[in-house]
Amino acid sequence: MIHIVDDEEPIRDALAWLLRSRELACRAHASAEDFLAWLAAGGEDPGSPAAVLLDVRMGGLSGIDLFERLRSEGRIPAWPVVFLTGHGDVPMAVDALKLGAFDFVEKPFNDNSLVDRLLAALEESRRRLEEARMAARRDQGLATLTAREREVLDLVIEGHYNKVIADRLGIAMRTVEVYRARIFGKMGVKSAVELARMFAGRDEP
Amino acid sequence: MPVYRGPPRREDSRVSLATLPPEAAPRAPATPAARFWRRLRWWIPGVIVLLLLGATSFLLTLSDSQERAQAQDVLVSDSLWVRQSLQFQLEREAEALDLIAADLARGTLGRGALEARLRVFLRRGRESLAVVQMNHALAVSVSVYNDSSTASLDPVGAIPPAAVEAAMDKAVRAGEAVFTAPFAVPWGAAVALVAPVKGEPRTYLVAVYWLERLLGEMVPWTFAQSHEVTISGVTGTVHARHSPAGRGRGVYTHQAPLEIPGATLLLGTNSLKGPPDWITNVIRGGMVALAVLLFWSLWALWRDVQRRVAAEHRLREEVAFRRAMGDSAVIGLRARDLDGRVTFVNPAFCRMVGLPEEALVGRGPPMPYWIPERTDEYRRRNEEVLSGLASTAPFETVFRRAGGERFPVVIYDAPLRDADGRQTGWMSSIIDVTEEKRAEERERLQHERLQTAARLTTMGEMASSLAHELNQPLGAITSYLAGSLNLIERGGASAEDLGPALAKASQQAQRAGQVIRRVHEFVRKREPQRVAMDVGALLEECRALIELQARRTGTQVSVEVAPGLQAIVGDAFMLEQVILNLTRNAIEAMADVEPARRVLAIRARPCEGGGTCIVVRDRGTGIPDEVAGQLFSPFFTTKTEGMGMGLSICRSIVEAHGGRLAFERLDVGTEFHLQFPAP
Repeated sequence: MIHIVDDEEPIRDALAWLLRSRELACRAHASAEDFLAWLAAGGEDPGSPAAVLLDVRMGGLSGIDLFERLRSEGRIPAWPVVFLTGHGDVPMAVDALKLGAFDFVEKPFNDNSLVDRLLAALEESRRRLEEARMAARRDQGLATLTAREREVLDLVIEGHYNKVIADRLGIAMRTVEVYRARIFGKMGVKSAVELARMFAGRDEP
Repeated sequence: MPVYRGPPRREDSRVSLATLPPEAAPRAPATPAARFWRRLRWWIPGVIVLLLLGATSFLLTLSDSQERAQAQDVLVSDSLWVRQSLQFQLEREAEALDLIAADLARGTLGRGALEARLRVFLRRGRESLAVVQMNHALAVSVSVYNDSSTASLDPVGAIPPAAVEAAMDKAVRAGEAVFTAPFAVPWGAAVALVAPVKGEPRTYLVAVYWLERLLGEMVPWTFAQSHEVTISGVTGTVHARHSPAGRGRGVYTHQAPLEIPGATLLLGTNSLKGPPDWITNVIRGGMVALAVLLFWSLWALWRDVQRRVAAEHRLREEVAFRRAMGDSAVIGLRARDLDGRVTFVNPAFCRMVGLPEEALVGRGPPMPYWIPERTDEYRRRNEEVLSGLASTAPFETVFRRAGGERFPVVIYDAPLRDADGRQTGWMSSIIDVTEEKRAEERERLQHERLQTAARLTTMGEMASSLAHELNQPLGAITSYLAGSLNLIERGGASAEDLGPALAKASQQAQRAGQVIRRVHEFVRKREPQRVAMDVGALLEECRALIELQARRTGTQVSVEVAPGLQAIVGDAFMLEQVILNLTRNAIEAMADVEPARRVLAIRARPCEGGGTCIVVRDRGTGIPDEVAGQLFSPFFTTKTEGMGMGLSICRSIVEAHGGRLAFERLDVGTEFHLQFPAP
């Protein structure tokens, strides 16, 4: 779902037409206040992938104001924000990028590239949601592991073979295999690769 | 010695500062010798007057003494003549008496004959009073008296016997008649003539002479009228005095011995004439008075000359001062007489036209610095100025340097008057305004640039609004079109699907076009044009841009145009600029008030005195007192990024259209009035 927030009716209408022509679901909001109100009313499941196209310059709450609000509500990581900027608003957009906006598109824009970016944003949204889910599962699994299982897990993630792990820990190779199977079960993964991916991006296990 | 020739006269009006004699230049300080001679020249007349006085006095004294000497000479010769005749007469008396005595001694005379002879003697010489015959014992034998009156005087009895006896002895020794020394008698003084008669007994004929009578008879009447005559003894005792006309003055006197037989007397004369003093004195007094007068007049002359010298000195200083002024002035100075001939130019003017003074002074029109093709104009102006018709207001024209270069000048004329207040010509100051013209041109360009800059500032501020404004329709259009293309590419897109989107895109394109047109008109720089404009159309033209300005702060705009307004003649673009400037200021003035109050009202209505008024009214914070005074000053601004040119230029533009830009502070907000005259 793409959320369009723009106070200019022709722009909203035209963008909605464009997105629909690419078979993208979209929803237009006439102002930041409207959008916040709609969210507050439970208009969208935070877990479903979505992107927000925000006009920087709007009457009432500006695009930046809205962005700050969304960030404080914790929606930004899941829902990437793409800013629509006019002439002269670029520095403002750059600031927004530093704060964590996904991208900005300067008006007048190339429409299909805008759509491509929105698609990328949607993909990012999906990835971030997936990641979040994975992280949740990992943390859940980790909590159930014993101390010995954590040791074995760390070495597995480092990519050592069972033999090396057995030598390091001073246990039999057979025992290592049992631990592995138990860890896989607890963490809900089927392979070491899947496990490694689960921990990728984490600095310390 | 330099001589100031006095103020220039009408017939000599060319005597001006330039033509003053070279001596008019400040004199070198006088040397001590020159000062000495200058002082001396005032002593010479004084000394001459004194010398003249002395010489006259000397001459007077000389003539006086000569006169005295002459008078004395006359007196002396007259006295000598009188003495001579006296002496002669007395000698004759003595001889006559001797003759009678001799006859008597011969015995030829009887008593009667003797008396007759003695009577004859007396008659002949009336000066003797009596004659007697007496012996040595003074016994009188015969006596004859001059007349009865003399007899009563008893002249013979009065003779002192000693004197007679001494004379008798002397006469006997001499053998002829001798006189006695004078002796006093009761009625004066007398002498006696004693003549011895030979024979026995010896007798003597004695005649008695009264000295006064002697003088009265013997001194001529004319002499006696002007002289006092005296007879005195050798000791100086005056015995007789004859002065029928008065006493002598003692000025001219003479004394001569009167030698008579047997005695010596002194005959004194004393003139009645006094010294000729009064004429001399009058002349002397007159001389002194004249000398005093002369000295006074000399002093007065000296004073006058001193004053003139001082005045001349001041004049010289003044001339030098004026000359220095003229020489140091950077503006050209030129004087002309009533015929238009140049009588004076200063160095600045010479430099200006590149000609030496000699080439200009004395020249009449046409002047060498005139531009040939404008000769008629100069001549006309010249005639106007010289005839006094032209005003003395500055006059702008163009002159030519000797090299042919032309330069603009401003000329100020003032009448030139002589000491009597008569006009003798015109003095003009000529200012080379090349630099001023250049500066003016620079200023004009500067102003134009500033105007452009101000316009650009306005534009810059609007540019972002415009960009936003343009981006909206353009963004919408591209989105509609891109979406439509997407549908077409996927196939199966029907006209029903695409139609509304394309219609919307077209609508947005029109909107964009409108904006572009406005911007184009706004940015385009044009030469000022003067066309009659309908006020309503003018405001309508501005309206879109005003609304663009107003949108950012959410300001409401209301425009009201009264029907039947007179047109404004001017440049639409410039007037739009003015209006936009005022509306922008108005909108900015309301930026800090609550949104409901943000109302910008623009009204066009007829002016009270004819013409058309446009009033721009805001309901903003108003103009503070300290700002109101310099609102229209260039570079005055209350805005952080403003240049302070806006209102200044606005006013220039409005005034260039013959109008007025004013403002009025209201209870709430401000009104700006644009007043344009009727076309």
